[in-house]
Amino acid sequence: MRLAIAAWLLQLRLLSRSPFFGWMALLTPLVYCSIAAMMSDGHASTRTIVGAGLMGAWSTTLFGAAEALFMQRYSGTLELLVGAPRSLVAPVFGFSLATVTLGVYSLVAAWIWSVLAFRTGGDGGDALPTVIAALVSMAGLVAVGVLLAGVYVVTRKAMELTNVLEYPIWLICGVLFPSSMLWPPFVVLGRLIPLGWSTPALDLPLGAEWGGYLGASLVLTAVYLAVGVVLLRRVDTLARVRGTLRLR
Amino acid sequence: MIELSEVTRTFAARRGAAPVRALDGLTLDIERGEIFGLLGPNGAGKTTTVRILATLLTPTEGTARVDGLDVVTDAADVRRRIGVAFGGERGLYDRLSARDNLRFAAQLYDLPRREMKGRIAEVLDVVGLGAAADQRVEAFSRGMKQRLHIARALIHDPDVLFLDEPSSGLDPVAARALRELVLDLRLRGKTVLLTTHYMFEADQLCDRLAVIAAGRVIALDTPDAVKESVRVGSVLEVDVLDDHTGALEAVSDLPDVVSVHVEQNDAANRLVIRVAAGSGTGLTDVLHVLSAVQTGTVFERRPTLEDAYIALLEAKAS
Repeated sequence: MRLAIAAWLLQLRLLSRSPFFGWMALLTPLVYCSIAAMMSDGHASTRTIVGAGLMGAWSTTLFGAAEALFMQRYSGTLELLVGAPRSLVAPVFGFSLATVTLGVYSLVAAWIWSVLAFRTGGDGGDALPTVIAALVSMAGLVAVGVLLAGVYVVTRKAMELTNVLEYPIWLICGVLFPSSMLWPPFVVLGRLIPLGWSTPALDLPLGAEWGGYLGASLVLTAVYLAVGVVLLRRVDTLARVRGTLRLR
Repeated sequence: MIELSEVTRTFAARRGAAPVRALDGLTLDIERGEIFGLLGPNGAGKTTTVRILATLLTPTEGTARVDGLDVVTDAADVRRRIGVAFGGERGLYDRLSARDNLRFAAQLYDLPRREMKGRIAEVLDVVGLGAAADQRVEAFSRGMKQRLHIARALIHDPDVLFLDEPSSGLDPVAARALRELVLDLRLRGKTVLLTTHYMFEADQLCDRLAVIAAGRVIALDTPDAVKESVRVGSVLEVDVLDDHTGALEAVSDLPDVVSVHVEQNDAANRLVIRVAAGSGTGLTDVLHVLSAVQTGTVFERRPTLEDAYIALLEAKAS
């Protein structure tokens, strides 16, 4: 736990000293929120604001996890992590947590921006189930970040993978608009991701159906975390066998 | 302390190409408390050897042990006993200070919190970076980065240190400071495996060394013994001020000349002539065959480790 906290602080420090990432993290939720609010004629619902915030959070998680591992490999510090006696799980969990910390900022920034720029803070009526669903979504993002990090250790194509994944995932997970608007097979694909279960709950009031979606999301989050941990324990060996820790 | 037995490492090549064999049955045994040098041309397998011992690569065949522990099956225990400093600009968090880099490394190695502050100050002092502890690493010179690499490798007080080309790219003053640091490590009881391209550095620092080429050991002994083992009795150097082509051929035809190569500088082409031990061929013979060309500085010297190294590689190539 101590190492995970150290990695969390390290990553936040590194991100805070990267002007590009800092500006991206700052502006992305504002841009997404503006688009969402304008598409709703300036009357954004809580659901729309949270959806826009989650879009920013997903981008941050994806780029954060990719950049964290890409930069570790690029700067040669990935070997420091792998060559240490501790498992990779704790530092990677810390890195993932750092990017989700920015994701939480994304949610809050989206809400503040909607109040300041569009004079709307959401309808407020069923804010509680929406906020809980958003928090469950954030937990899912941590799990996805851990799983992606394991993949990124093994492959040198982290940034390419990131670019491919960004938009399709939040579309098929119904982050901004309900996935029921999509072709049904995409909905099934979305349900393979924790976010694909937690986002439908954003549209539901407290109740059994709402709880069912969030329960499924939490189960999938646990599965992702477990697979991510197993993968991270194995990638250590795999990367040593393949010799993929350095950039060529 | 460090044993490599018949270690082979191959890397998969890109589609259609044959796999690359970086190590080919490498066998070494390094004693506790030694400074051991690993010499060889680019691509000889020096860094691959260090990376296997540092548990960052697995051997394809053979076994490697540090302090009796297998680098594949006991990797975590090996990692607690070793410190690794890969030289160069990479491998540090440039946006953080030296102290922050060391603090994170200390946490990776599970140093107790109460010991961390003192230990970081101690290793910064050992490498002479105390005054720059809170500067961002991106502002460091290459020499300072090299020293920070070593400080980080020392943070958990390991018994064994792997230094991969630590003085590469350093200016002479920084390189000397680094060599003094390595000698200081021996006084502290560390076992050091050092890879280097600089022969005088290996000569000055190492108790023993191995010359490797194409992933195999071609010489293994003390620096003096390696120098004596090759068939080089003396080295004659002659500056040729005219065209050196004919001179090269004429000198090569002299009896007992092991090798001749040309070192170019601004003023002349210097012929470096290696003559076999016990040979009667000397400067007089060389100047005789070069009577038709204009010569400058002429001298004879004892072979250095570099002469022995080049002779070994030439013998291996032939």
